[in-house]
Amino acid sequence: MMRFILLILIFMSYLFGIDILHIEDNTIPKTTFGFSYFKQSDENLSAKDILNDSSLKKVKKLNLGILDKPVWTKFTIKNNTQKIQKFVLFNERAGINYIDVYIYKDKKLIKKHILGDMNSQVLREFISRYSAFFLDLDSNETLEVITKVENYGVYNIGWYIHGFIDFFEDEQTILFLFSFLGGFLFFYILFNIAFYLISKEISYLILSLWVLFILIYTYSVNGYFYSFDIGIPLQIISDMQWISPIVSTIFLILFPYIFFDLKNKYPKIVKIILLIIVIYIFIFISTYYMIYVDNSLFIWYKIYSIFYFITPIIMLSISFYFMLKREEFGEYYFFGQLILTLFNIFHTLEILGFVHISVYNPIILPFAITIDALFLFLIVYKKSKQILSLQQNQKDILMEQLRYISIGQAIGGMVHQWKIPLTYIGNIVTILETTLKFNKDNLQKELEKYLPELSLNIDYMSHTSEELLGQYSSKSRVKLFYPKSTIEEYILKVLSSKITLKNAKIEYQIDENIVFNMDENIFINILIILIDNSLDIMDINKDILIKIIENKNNYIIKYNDRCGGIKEKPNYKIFD
Amino acid sequence: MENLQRLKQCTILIVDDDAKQLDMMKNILGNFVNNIIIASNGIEAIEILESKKIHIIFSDYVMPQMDGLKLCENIRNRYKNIPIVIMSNYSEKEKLLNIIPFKPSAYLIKPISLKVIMQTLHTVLDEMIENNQLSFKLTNGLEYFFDTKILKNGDKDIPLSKNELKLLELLANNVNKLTTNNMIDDLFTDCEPMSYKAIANVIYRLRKKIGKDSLENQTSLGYILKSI
Repeated sequence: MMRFILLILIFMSYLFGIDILHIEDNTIPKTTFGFSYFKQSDENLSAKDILNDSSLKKVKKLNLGILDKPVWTKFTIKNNTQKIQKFVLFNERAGINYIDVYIYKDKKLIKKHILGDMNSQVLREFISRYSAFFLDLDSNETLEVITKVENYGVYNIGWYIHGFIDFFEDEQTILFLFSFLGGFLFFYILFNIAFYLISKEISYLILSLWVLFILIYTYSVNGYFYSFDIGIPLQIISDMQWISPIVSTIFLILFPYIFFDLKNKYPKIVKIILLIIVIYIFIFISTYYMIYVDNSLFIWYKIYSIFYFITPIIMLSISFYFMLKREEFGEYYFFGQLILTLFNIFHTLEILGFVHISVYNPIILPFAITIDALFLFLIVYKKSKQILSLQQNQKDILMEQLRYISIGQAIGGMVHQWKIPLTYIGNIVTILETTLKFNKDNLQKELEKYLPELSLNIDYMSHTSEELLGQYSSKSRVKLFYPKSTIEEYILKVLSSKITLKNAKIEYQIDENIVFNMDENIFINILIILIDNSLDIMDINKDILIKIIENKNNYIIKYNDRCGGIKEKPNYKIFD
Repeated sequence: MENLQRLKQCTILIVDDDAKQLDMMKNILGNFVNNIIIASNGIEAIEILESKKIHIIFSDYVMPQMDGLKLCENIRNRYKNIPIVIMSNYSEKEKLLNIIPFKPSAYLIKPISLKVIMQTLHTVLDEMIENNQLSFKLTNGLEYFFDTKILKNGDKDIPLSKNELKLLELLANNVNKLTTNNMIDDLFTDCEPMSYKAIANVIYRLRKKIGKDSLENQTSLGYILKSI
């Protein structure tokens, strides 16, 4: 009830125009709104002119939007209390280029403040992200304050009046929230870059760049870059406010394009997205032109605001469409986009002066970004994890295939090596059988002659099987080995039957001192498959050349079968 | 085994490039036949075939210089009916199909068991009997057995002297073909010189025993042994 009455009172006072701000013991006004008068003019006026100007109009809107003329304001403040009143007056919109403040007492200039972000911090009474100044009023003292605001967009011509202590306490809280979210998003960027480097998934990179530019935007538009005074040229800080939202929006639009593989699935949406990106690139270039070449063109910036307003809605519609299409992760994307869009619309409306809530407004956008960024990170992470496990599976399958092919080769080689001893053993059995049946007298003699032969051949067979198949008893083992002796003692033995059949010559130019440190099986498998494939296609009496060349930190294996090489297309199938 | 005894007098040629293998096969087959000749490749085998009477050939398939297939082709061009047994380390269809046109008696995959060897020898024997390679009938009903070297008139043996037998074998190898006087001269003058008169005497006596119609005289050229 009390609030309602208070509201009525404020409304009444606003209607009937009390043009002096009275400081009473129990009522200290929060803003100059309702007590200030303004004039916009690009004439060469001085503060004195404004002080005596009777044509000033009452301020009905603090946010005048895009404007190409400086705006003069005036308000009068009176301390009706018996105490000295200390205030901080600040323009809640950080990042306004130029604000000059003139304080008059009894029509005499007693103080001048040079504020605005295009003026150096050195000129100020104290460093703040806002354009702010101290105002001390003695008991019953009346002061007249004239200000001149000059910016591409005059977003606020009013002044907040805060108690000295209140002001710094509020600032502490906001700074804490900003630092917290900023720090979080900073790590988010690092994290995404790291993930990108590991997985090569471009979506991570897009996310990190998007958040980076959003971060630059919020920190510059809220005056932190200015107040930190870390040596960034003022012009660049000012440019950041205009450029960074454009760039970050481009990345935000690019995200679904990359992530959902639109190119192949939704050619129509690709057209829409490309059109939006082209528009934003145009906005980017023209904004630069406005800043550096022709400031007067800023009057057209209003049109761009419409795009800032529409784009999130279009992106939200697209994400809704993905969800309807049951696109994987579509619902996450939609949800993140929904939150971002709502806050973005709010932010745009606020910038344009349609809504106004409190000094905590600036924290809302980074907060929304954080939520959306988390959603987007989650889906990229899920997707890349899926891809990684798929790749790992494929790699495992390939390695397993390699292994089986080589085991097959080893068995083939073994069977070949066994042919002759097996024939011998078979023959000896036949001889002994025949002797037993038809020539019993000679049995002793034949046994003595053939038994050693029998055991010799069996030994050979057992040795061969161990040598050729023993290689596969253990799954994988990285170890040191000499490639030359591996080729000589293993690979050529396994393939000996085929090499003999084709009468092929395997030449190898390998330094016998070269040592490899890897899974020997992989080396064996690869060479066996290469040579085997070459032998399949080769005419008889041809040769194969294998070279190992040292190259800085690694070795290059050169393999030449003079069979015309592998066609470009199936070269990934070499090891199938 | 009883039947296989009939092969005892036959000569087997074994062709293989592996000396150990040759030795072993010789050992095994030696239990069935008295005469075994070995060759380490196809070319050597052809040379032996030209100079000696061979009844059966066992040959490896994969050999340098002339492989089993070429050898088979070569032999079939000259000797239509000689049994050839091919031995191979591989049971490859392609090889088997390649060799079929040259009618091998058997295609064996190494190692070869005694059972398989005996089966093969039985097959070879049946083939030889069918092709009259162990015996042949003369126009007048007499029958000559290679394996036992006996000439029979019904159930009755007709005794032959050593030289007569030698001559008959020569003629038998060229049944229904001309055996020239030169060939006959070479046969008898090979070991110890024999007079022309003595040779004529041997021919005369053999003609008397087997009948003049069966051994036709081609004036000044030679003789033809006529078989049914």
